[in-house]
Amino acid sequence: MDTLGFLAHGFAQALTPQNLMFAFIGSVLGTLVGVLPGIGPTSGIAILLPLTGFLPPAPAIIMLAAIYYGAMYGGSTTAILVNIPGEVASVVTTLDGYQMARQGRAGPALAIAAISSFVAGTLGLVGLTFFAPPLADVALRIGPPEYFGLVVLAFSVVVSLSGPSLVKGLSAAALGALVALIGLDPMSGVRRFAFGTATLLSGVDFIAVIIGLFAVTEVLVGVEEAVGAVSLAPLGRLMPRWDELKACVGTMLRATGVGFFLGLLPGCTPGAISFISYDIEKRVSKTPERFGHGAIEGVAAPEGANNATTSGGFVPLFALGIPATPALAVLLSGLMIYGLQPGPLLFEKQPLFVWTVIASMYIGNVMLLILNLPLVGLWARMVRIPYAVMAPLILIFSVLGAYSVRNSFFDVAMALVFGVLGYLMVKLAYPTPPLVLALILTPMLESALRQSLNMAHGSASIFATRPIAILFIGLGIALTVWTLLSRRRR
Amino acid sequence: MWRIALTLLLSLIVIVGSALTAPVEAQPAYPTRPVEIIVAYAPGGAADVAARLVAAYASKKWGQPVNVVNMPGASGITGTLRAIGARPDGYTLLLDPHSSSAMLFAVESDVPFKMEGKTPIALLTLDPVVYTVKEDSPWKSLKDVAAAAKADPKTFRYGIAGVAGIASFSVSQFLYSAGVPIAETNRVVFTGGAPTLTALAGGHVDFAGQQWSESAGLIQGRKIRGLAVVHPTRLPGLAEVPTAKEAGFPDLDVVGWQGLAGPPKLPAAVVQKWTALLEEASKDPHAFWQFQQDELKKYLPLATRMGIRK
Amino acid sequence: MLLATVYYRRVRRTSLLSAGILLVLGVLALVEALRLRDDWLGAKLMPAVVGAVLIVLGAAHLVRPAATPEWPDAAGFRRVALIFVVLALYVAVLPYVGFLPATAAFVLVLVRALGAFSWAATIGVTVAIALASHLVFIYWLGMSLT
Repeated sequence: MDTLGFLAHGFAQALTPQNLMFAFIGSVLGTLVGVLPGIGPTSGIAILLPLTGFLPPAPAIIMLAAIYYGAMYGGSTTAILVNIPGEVASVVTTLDGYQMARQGRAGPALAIAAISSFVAGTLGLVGLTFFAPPLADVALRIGPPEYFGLVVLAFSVVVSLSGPSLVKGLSAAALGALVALIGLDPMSGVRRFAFGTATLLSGVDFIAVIIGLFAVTEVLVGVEEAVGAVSLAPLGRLMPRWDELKACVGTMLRATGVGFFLGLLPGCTPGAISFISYDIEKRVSKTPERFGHGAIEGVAAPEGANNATTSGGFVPLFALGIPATPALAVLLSGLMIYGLQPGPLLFEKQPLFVWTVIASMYIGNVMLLILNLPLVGLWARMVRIPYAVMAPLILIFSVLGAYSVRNSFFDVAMALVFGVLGYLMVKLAYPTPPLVLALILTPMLESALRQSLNMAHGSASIFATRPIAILFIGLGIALTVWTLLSRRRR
Repeated sequence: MWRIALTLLLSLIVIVGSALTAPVEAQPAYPTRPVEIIVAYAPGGAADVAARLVAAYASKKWGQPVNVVNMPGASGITGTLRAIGARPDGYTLLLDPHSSSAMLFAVESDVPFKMEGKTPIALLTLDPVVYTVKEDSPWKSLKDVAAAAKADPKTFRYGIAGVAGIASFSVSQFLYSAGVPIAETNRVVFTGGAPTLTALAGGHVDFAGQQWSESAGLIQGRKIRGLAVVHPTRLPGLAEVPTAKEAGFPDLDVVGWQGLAGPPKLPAAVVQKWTALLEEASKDPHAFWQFQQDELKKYLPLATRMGIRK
Repeated sequence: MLLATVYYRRVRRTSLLSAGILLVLGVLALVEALRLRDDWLGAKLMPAVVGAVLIVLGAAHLVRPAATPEWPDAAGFRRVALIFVVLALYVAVLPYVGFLPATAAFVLVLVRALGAFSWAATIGVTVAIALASHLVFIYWLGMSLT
């Protein structure tokens, strides 16, 4: 049977009332879990995995996949409403999404997030459906030198996010890079910046940092300015304007492309991908100065990229048995418990199973849209809750979220430390996104660089033999130069 | 280096064996409240999956929740410290894999806890090493690899997951016994088994020696080829891959494993309850039908049987 | 020479402070890089690079004049400090006192400090939030905070 035939069969299976119900439950649970800061898809799936234990394989997998998509969506809700990214990938959504919420436009922000997620996720699934095996082979050809090139390219975004002062932006980035180096070097096991303590040895957890920099900082700022609520602006319409939607079409398509293809590469974190997608939108826009102050494309791009990345991440998972992110690794172990053997033979040996799962992912995407669009009104009203109630809630969530990542109070302390740091950065006009981006990218940069050099006995000549890597590095340098020049002109 | 590791490993097995022969005392029914198994690694890895499978089975049998708690960090030191510092009442246990046991102590000289500072309960799984190359590699046997590496060490690239990981031991042991000048080869360090084998499949490195659970999928999918397994017999599911002995290298003996352990001075009755459960599990076909289907081939042997391995 | 530049451009105190912090961190990073026992292309590489970058950026702060920051007024500063201290205390006692009591106390103080509710409403909100978060995190998700 050909692909379409299998897919049709898969839909027939997936559309049974029982499976639909489990997709629904999974979406709801995943969204709820994703809303809790610090509990992103990884811990969410790990926590909810036992719940699926009593189910037969197909519904269980359907539920797990729905949980995964749901968790990714849930993270954006809090990112928009209260500036708390639910997980790494939602950090970029806060840049414009939260600003939109403060302007009373939480509704359109949430709506476009749902719509963009749906469109990009579905298109990504189409890519998965038809191109999985050949794409997986392409993914294999990306080795350390090419990764290095990609990360160089991603670093060029730092310049673009630096705001008016390049020195301040770069300083923030350098700080982020330094924090990323604390702990045990994953490649050589050498202890760095641990100063003899066992706690610092585990490094500073990324989620704790962003909870501090975003949630705690926002509360401190809000308290200082004695705001009555997150937003007292009159709540406008709940849906984006028609012209805005049209403007976002291009955004969604670009975000899908970027998210899907970069999501294919194991090890390319969704956080970095959403930054890249955001930056691309900013560059192609005719009015880039809107970004950072509530541009709707600034929400559509990262949200779309995230879901496309999710779909892209399933390609190496199904076709090679390689999880692209830790969340997918947990999903993989869940799949294996149910007898699914991901790998190149998956499509041959267990076609019906696979296609049922893929079909239910399509359905999951639809379900999330149907679930969340009506709720936009409810969520949007939450920004008007008096700050006296909101602030304690946010702080409790922050404390628990930071703790939950590694069951460690050290992480909570880190969240507080970075909360203060973030507050100072806001007061002194240092931009926070470069710090976050550097925190994400530095480990990738380091491992890619060292691995590449190791491949050629320490010489940089390895790069001369890898055209794709040179291409990426060249692009990165070109983009950086271009951004610097266009800043001069302004 | 691996000799020390091996000695430590064997002594651990002996310790487990003697713990199992401890007398049974009369105790109130354990467990009476939820049990926690601490996994000192991130969710999704071999250790985590092993813990979750055991936890699921134990929960069902005993009717009390057995929860897996992940405490990753510092190559497993963080979580291990927490587990062995807990009260020895049987409600906090440790998923104890090779990477935070013998191998860690062989590599690190100042680990903040002692290897004997815990109560071993049982060996849960064995994860043999499989030496692999790219599917279309010209090397068809370990001897080919050895010859090529000796002929031109400067272009020989091998990948390992972590400098103190299992592959560091398995590949070095192989290269030493083959007489390859290691200092002239290229060692590329990755952060985990999956990236290492992905790089192998993509041709970015030429040779690897990771665990079976990590390698089986790509081998069966024909992206990488297994050259030898470090095990007394050929592995089910990898029937065409010879054992290290058959491949001409009988001295290779690095193996991965996961075990269950508890804080020091754990009551013998608790240990006994677990070992009884695990023995029963290894005989219960329904519960472990899934095991047989998995890529993680799980043995649940008792340590005494494994002590006879060498 | 550097002092002359600093004086001439009338560098703000905050710029000096930022420059100082960056320079100190940069030196720290370089020292750590030198201390490590690994190849230069191994664990030492990034700390050295980042250290150098930090030092350069620290110096850059001295050369470019910075805008005056907007410091909060005294009342605002007191509020921020209070909330932060309360938060730190909450985190400190949490593992010892237990989730429900610590959270209830925390919420009580915050709502009282931030809002203009009657005592009845304050208590009501406190109980609601504390109970709800206990249910979700401790009971349902099974987080253990000891």
